Amino acid sequence: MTDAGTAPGWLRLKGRALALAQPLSANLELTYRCNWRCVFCYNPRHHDLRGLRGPEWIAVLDDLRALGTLAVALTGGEALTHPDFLAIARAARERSFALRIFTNGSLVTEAMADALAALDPIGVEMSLHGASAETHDRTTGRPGSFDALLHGLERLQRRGLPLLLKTPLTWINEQELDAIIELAARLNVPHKLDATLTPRDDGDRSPLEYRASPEGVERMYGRLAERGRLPFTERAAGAVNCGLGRITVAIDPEGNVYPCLQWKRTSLGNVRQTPLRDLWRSSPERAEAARVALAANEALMGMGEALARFPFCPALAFQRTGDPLRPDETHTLQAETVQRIRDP
Amino acid sequence: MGLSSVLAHRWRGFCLALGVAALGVAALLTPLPARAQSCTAPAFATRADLSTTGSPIAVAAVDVDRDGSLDLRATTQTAVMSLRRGNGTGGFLRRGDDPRGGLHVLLRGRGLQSGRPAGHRGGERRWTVESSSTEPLRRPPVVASAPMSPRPAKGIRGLRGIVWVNPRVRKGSWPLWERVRGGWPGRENQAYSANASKATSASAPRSRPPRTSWAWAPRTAWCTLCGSPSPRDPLPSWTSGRPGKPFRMVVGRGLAMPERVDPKESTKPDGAPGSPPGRERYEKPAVAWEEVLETRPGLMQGCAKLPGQTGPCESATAS
Amino acid sequence: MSYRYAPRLAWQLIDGEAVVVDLDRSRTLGLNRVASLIWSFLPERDEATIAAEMARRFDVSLETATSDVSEFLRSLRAQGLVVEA
Repeated sequence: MTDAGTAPGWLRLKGRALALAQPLSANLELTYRCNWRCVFCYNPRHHDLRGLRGPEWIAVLDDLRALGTLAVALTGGEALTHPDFLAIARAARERSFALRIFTNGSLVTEAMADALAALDPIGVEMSLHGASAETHDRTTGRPGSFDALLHGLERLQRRGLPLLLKTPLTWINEQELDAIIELAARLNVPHKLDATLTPRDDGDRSPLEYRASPEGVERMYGRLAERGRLPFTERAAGAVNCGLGRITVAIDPEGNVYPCLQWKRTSLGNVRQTPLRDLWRSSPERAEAARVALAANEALMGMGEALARFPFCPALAFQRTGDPLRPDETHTLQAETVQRIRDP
Repeated sequence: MGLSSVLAHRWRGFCLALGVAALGVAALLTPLPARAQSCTAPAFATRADLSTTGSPIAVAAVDVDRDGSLDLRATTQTAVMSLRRGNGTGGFLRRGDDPRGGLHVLLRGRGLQSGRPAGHRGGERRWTVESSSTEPLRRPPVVASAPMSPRPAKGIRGLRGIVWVNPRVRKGSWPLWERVRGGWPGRENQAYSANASKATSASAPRSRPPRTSWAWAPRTAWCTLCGSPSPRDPLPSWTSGRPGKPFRMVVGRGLAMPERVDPKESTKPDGAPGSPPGRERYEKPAVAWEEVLETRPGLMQGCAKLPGQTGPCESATAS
Repeated sequence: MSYRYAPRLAWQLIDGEAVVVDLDRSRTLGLNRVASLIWSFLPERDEATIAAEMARRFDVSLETATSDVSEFLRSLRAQGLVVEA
């Protein structure tokens, strides 16, 4: 992440937020519940015995407002399964947050589509796991999920909501890569591909067994290169790798606070015991995470051009190697693949 | 963005502290609304910036080492408090760090010249006052923390920004304060008084300044060095020591340094704070910049734009 | 005259500067410091009160502040960023 500069504009303000550790972006995992059972899901369970209720989430929103958050993403599990989802989403908009909603789309009925449209979200992001029902449903573990997704997407599209389809690349769907890209184009919805899988939040590494093959990953980056969308990071000495510990915050369904959605190694605390604003401001863990973001930039700069120019997540590195500054083999392979494609 | 710019914030309250230092300790420890009976006009040194070990939360001018010179002690967002020992002539000796940090509030006042840290740590349920030595630290201290007794009411949990301590509190006795005024995030401009001797009752003030009165100093500002705000004036003010002549400091965000220190004085015949001294430079209100809004797919997509859109990758709402 | 924020907005203050996300026109705007202060006073204060506060806080006459605040709020309304309360 390079210097924001001094010219008026969003980048300069973002730089100020980095300096002030103002969490511009918040990810709220409303619930562990989900009506799908994706084979590589990062969630450790699918129940909410100790989950936050609507009023508790709304109190979190108040604290986020005070902390200077601009954008809130509601996710899960499946966010729409939270019984107070709409109340929370409305509260977010009433507090002038920019709202994103992550959903599998299968629960978007006509009524829900109307309600979502009334919220004016800046984005609704849904998951597409295959170009066919067979592949998609195999990934989600739910027959009929593919059709349900498409129906939900159509309802939202008809109402003009800004949509995004996301496809995690796995060995299950990598053979349908071109068909998936074509499907998204045919649906006229922006599309995101990602070969990154993460262990479950409880440390279970079994999701990683679904990683795409190196050939599949290379083909994916080839397609991205054709569209001018190869991932690229420009690094400068003294800059931060990412907003970890500074401009992002995440809260899990039970109220545990993290400096980012992936950084689950230590929580800053729990909002049921300490108000979020106190946790954020006084947390040594947050400060430590911020230092990691700084150190990660320096570390990656010294690892050669391929790794230095490839986006890096310290949280994922920690999950895979135990060291937030050391990328694992998969990451290195992807970085080298991208470098090879970029500079043949 | 370098470490120094991210973690070490500059201490613009220096000049105010110097001005306060010039008044002597007595004026500092006098409760507010305070009226020093006789005092020379404050003289301010050249404004300078001081760094702390982390984002400062609360700062107090106290005589830590009891050498007769005011020092500055600040709690920060790290586990370390910063200390600048004053030299008695407006300057400072070497900077020291006190590892007993992590608390939000600095107490000061008669009988509490140490500027003892107090408050609660994130995740804990009790208020703590460090009772260790007041001497400047040259090695890690033996710290004994004790819960306050009686325990403050739930209503003031999360309270920060204690602005003064009533000198009627008996030195060395509990409770440490009888009257506390401050606020906490979300209710920054509300003053609450807590009378711990009555076993934890906290009462809201009669007047409640509107939240937006903090907007000039951004919404989440809270007091660092401050005095008693007039019910008619939601901004924190500091009594200079001259009867009825407050001057005002507007503080910035709690995560940043104070944005402005206003050394000028103003007065009304009745001694209440008057019109703001030293108004800020004015510019005609306007939109400063405008950019296209786009949703960025995500980090792993690199600098990817949505089809058909142009503009910078870093949109305001990117995650 | 009193105003409130238009419904299809998001906004926040960053270091005293307001950033406004205009969902209607797909744009992001930044306001200068004086404008940010005016923006943050909405909707709890009316135009006259805001102007008086500007004259109090800034080195500007009440007359100029009144004129500038009025003009600015009218421009915001013309851009669909505020509506009359």
